[in-house]
Amino acid sequence: MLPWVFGPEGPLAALRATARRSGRVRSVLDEAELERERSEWERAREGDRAALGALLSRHGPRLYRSVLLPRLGSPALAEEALGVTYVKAVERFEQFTWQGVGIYPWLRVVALRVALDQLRARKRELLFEPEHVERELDGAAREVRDAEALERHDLAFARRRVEEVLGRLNPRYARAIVLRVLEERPRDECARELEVTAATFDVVLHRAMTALKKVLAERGAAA
Amino acid sequence: MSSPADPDGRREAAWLDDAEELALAEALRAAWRPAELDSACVDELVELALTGPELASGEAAIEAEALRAAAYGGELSPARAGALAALAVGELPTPAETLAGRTLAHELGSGAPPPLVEALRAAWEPRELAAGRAAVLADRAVERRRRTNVIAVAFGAGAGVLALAAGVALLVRPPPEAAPAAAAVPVARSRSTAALFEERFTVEATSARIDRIGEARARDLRANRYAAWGVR
Repeated sequence: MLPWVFGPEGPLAALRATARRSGRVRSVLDEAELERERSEWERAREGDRAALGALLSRHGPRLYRSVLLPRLGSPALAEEALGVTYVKAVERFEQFTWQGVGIYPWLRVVALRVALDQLRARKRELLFEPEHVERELDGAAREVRDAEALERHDLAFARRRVEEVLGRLNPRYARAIVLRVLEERPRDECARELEVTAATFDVVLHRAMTALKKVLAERGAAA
Repeated sequence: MSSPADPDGRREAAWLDDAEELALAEALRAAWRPAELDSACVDELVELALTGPELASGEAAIEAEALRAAAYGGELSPARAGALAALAVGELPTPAETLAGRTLAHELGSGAPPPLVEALRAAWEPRELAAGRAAVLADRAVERRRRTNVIAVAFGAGAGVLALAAGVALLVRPPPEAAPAAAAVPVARSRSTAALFEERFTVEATSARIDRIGEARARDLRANRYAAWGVR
């Protein structure tokens, strides 16, 4: 790893702190919420379509942001995967038995399976290999954590993957990607940070992305 | 160089004037035993080289700073040193790389990033799903299930009705008429080929006789099959 990029003083640490401050991870399901979810589940089992729709749509944003989007790498693909996840969840709803942590862990397994299918059929460069999701699925069936804990786990897992692939690059290339792609800083500012002209920064970033593709291709071939 | 007319080269040497002779002597001395350059002169030359307007920014500025540090002492910042090292070891960008870099910059600036950039951002800081989108997708899935159930029930009911109708038809249908007995139709039977040959038998024309027998038997076979099928 690169301490100056990923360490406590590095730019990624500042990004992490910002994400924490912004409160993007939702609060834990409290008892009342859990009870409401159980009530909806019972009504859905008896054929109440509105209850089933409410149950599914409540967990949709979380599934999209922490499970599907990071692994599939595209908002369009992730949204499509969420639709397929819902269809499969409705088809197999009878198979779900109530857990003390709600329906989210079960929905997450369905979403991971959908993501796995899409990763296997992919035609573009992605950060995740099917093997990564397969390993997650191995432990997901016995999952007892609640939705918030799982969301934290999934978001951290995706970030570790980014750090892992950037850590395999030349530090200057990794820095160019952190500045321009992850922090989304303006081009001129990135060039100043690297002390080169904007035109040279463009070439450095292009080389950085090419190196990243190569790393991913090697990892994909090795996986 | 000597010539036949001037065997010891005296005439050519006589053509050099004093200044030329001095320059030639200096060049010979510099080549044979070069002298040290005055350090003040070195500083002046370096400063002259490092203050050109083309060295004010970019890679040239980094190189100039490195040269100054080498000439006068001092340290480069880690970022400058890294940049200089990258300049030193990195090959100059090819026209294709320059174009690709410019294209990437344009894509990033236009809000339509390449897939890998999108994937990195999605993994690092995934954005929220558009408000209300989850409810739309959930409703669609539930509705799709309802329609599937309706179609399955309708198809099942239709299939049941058809099966019932077929059963009733089988029960009330009169028995099929008996097929005409094939045995009642006369069929050709095996017999001698003598009737096929009225002419006198000779040893020639064997193939023609075999063909005639073949045609006759094929005709009999067709007639027998038609009789068996009741289509004669």
